[in-house]
Amino acid sequence: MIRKLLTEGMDTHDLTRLDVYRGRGGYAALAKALGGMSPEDVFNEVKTSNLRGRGGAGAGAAFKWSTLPNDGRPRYLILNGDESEPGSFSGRMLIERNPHRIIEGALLAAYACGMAKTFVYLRGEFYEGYAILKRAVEMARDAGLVGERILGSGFSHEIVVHRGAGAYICGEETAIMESLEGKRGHPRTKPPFPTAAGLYGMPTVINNVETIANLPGIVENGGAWFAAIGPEKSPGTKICSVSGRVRRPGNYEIEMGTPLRELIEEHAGGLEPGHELQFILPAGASSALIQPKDLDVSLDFDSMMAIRSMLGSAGMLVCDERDCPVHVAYLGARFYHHESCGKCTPCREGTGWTEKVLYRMEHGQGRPGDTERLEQLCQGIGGRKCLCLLGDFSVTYLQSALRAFRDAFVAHEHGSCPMARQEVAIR
Amino acid sequence: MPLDLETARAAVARYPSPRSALLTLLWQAQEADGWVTPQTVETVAELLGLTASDVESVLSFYSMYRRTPPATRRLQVCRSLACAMKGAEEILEHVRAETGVGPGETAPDGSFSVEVVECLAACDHAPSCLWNERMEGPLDKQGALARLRGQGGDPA
Ligand SMILES: Cc1cc2nc3c(=O)[nH]c(=O)nc-3n(C[C@H](O)[C@H](O)[C@H](O)COP(=O)(O)O)c2cc1C
Ligand code: SF4
Ligand code: FES
Repeated sequence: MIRKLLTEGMDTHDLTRLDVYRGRGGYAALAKALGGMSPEDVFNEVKTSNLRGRGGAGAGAAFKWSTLPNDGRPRYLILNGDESEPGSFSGRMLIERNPHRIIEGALLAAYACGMAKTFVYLRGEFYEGYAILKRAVEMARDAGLVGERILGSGFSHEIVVHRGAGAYICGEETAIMESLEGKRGHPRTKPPFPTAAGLYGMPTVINNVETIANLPGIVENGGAWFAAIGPEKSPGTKICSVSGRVRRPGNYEIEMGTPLRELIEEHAGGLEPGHELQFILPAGASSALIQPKDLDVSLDFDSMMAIRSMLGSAGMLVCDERDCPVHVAYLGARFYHHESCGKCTPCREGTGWTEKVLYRMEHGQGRPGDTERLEQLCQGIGGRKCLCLLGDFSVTYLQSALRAFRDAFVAHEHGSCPMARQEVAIR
Repeated sequence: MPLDLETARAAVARYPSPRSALLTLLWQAQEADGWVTPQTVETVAELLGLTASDVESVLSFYSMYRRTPPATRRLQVCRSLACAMKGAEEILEHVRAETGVGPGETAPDGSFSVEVVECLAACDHAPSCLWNERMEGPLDKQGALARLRGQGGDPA
């Protein structure tokens, strides 16, 4: 079921304008919080809401916040707007079309956790989003919503909009911190976790922009209201980005628990005429594929895990019979090899080898044993051997494709593609 | 037009530590000059109390900073999953066949350049591209050629 909480009014109104956003009830939650709720009250509403992170792993938002140490050091909030996972494009839409919702959410999180400053990290390619969000922060500052003594209260807070410069790895939480400190975006060893020692070594919370955009609704209507939407353990809505072979690619905000079938067949208009669903990557290039037999799965964190896949960022890439699973694997491998930061050997070398083997399989030069070679590579790279999860991400889809479509891989060992793809590939 | 020192200092002041402004200053310089000049590296290093090689090392990590002056028109085509599935590579091949300029190359007269980039978070408009730093899509073969030949609107 379509349910617009974060995207409400976005199609009909220019919510980038402060007067329009406010005219539709925007910043009422902030006024409510600053007008009579303590930071603990705000925290407790978020805890009651059961809000889980929309950036990938579905970590409990309030739980993460609760791990901040109480030691008087400055705390920082980072909003993750790096959005570089192939297939995910919901964050860009929120940033470009509902920026005040993100700002209001950031202010609520900052108030609840006593943050010293908020940094919004946008990927460098978001030229337009950067301009829009920066302008929105300025408008909010002029209206007394950002800066000193917000809305006349004792709460002051600054939001800095920061731009990356082209590196997928900078979406990883510790790489973002390195990048924000003006360094190369290499992930850090964990522990310490960011809440203990993050940006400048200070306690830091990092949340996805969509996670944060949920806060105004939670504060305004109460955590119990939010907790009652959708499945108990995965409440709220999720903006699903649907791309690939559907008639209406785009972003659809659905209530958690909506069947995947409904999203694909109704909202996204079904497959392109005359074509048949073969598989879906539900959370971008790094997710285990879903086959048509599982199309009735409900879109929430736990149900997706139960079928060995994930909801993650809900960047759904829909593939039909024209899309060879081996070709998709090659495209994924090329991406991960390109984006590996090179710090860990299994990831750096493994993604390189994987791309190489898949390249030759894709170009009619497969060798006997290549399928097994890929299986071994997956084992060598995966299993959390690396500093960050990029290594694991790079094998998740591949392993699922090897399970579901092993025959297609074996056929490529002998130079044939069951989908008879014509190869044109740029290295 | 080199980096404006006043704007640069204002950016530095927004961060708890000066070095955090490094990416921002490099962006400002690239917006002013079209690329990151050797002079910029020196100026930025001095402003932030870093060495030129500190700045170089960071600069080389991030793919979006240009180390040479840009072509007049710039086409960056996404080659990630959704866009590759919808023909991004065929477009790039076509451009190469018609103009002799392949990905990563610039026309000899400097009038245009072609690059590949990874997912632009615009997969619903696949194949998508950055055309003079503006997100556009879906791109097709004719559209790509028209843009490169200067029939695609004025570059920013
Ligand atoms: C390689 C890599 C890339 C990531 N990219 C993103 C990203 O672009 N956006 C994002 O929100 N999280 C990304 N994450 C997850 C973040 O590390 C982090 O878990 C998330 O931002 C937390 O937000 P949440 O708790 O609100 O979900 C990435 C993780 C890894 C390992
Ligand atoms: S797993 Fe890959 S991307 Fe992550 S830190 Fe190691 S080498 Fe870098
Ligand atoms: S794959 Fe090209 S924009 Fe996402």
